[in-house]
Amino acid sequence: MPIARKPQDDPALQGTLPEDPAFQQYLSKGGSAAKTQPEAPKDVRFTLHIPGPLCQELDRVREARPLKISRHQWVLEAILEKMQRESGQGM
Amino acid sequence: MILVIGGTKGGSGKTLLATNLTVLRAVTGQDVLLIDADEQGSAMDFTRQRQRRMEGEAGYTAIQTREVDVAVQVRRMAPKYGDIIIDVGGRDTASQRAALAVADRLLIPFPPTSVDLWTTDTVVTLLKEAGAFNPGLRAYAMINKAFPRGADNAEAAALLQEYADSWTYVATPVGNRKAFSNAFGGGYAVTEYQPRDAKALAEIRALYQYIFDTKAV
Repeated sequence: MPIARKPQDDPALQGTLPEDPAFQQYLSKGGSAAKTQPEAPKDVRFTLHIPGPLCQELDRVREARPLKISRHQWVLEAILEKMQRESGQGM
Repeated sequence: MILVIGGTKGGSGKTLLATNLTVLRAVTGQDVLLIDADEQGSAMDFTRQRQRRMEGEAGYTAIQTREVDVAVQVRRMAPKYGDIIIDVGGRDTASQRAALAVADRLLIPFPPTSVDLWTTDTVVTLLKEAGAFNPGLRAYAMINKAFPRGADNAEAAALLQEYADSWTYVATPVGNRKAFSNAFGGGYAVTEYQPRDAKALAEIRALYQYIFDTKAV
């Protein structure tokens, strides 16, 4: 496939709009759209299988806390702690 | 009809209204184009969610564009569609100004709070400036995200009616109902969503009836 040049504005289409400086001034009084920021990586979902006894133990530890947290939150904390230990970096 | 859902304040519920009115219009058999001119792209996200759920067929066409290209696309697409509904971002942008230069109607939702109603003067200025290029533009103001009780709704309505020179006040408020946001997340109009919220249905149908001068299906 041959390389195509970047398309230019279609003058025929532009011509249907007022070309006078007053219209351009009217438009420019509105703010520009924000520049696109690089997208942060999206959250990843996956299914986690935990052996029953281990999950029971997890729940026991979790419920022993004065402030209850979800399994999901507990596992996230565990991941972060392990990452800190292994890489010396926290998030 | 080329309808802009606009205003100069974010968080007024423009996208919820734009998507609901688009679906209500499309189910009547009208060929509807939804233009997402908001850089957040929430109306496109809604459409993608809807397409995913409906095996690719949202029931209307949606495009995303911005700034002067909004006007270019509207001029180009107007002969091909029965109606064009444009969702613009929550501030005074070149995209909104371009849309107002080519639209028939502007619907401005105002939540009944002071901080939202303080933007009335900036909207009036914007309308005056747009009117220089589009004298046929007709503006309508309404209360969106109305409170379930209290005097705020009535006070906001009274304030909006003071601007009769700038817009027509539409007495079909839409409440701040969870059904709208729940439906939106699934790519549904509130009329399609289960469990049904009878009040939300009645409100959006009344607004639709006013704007399009016909009953919602």
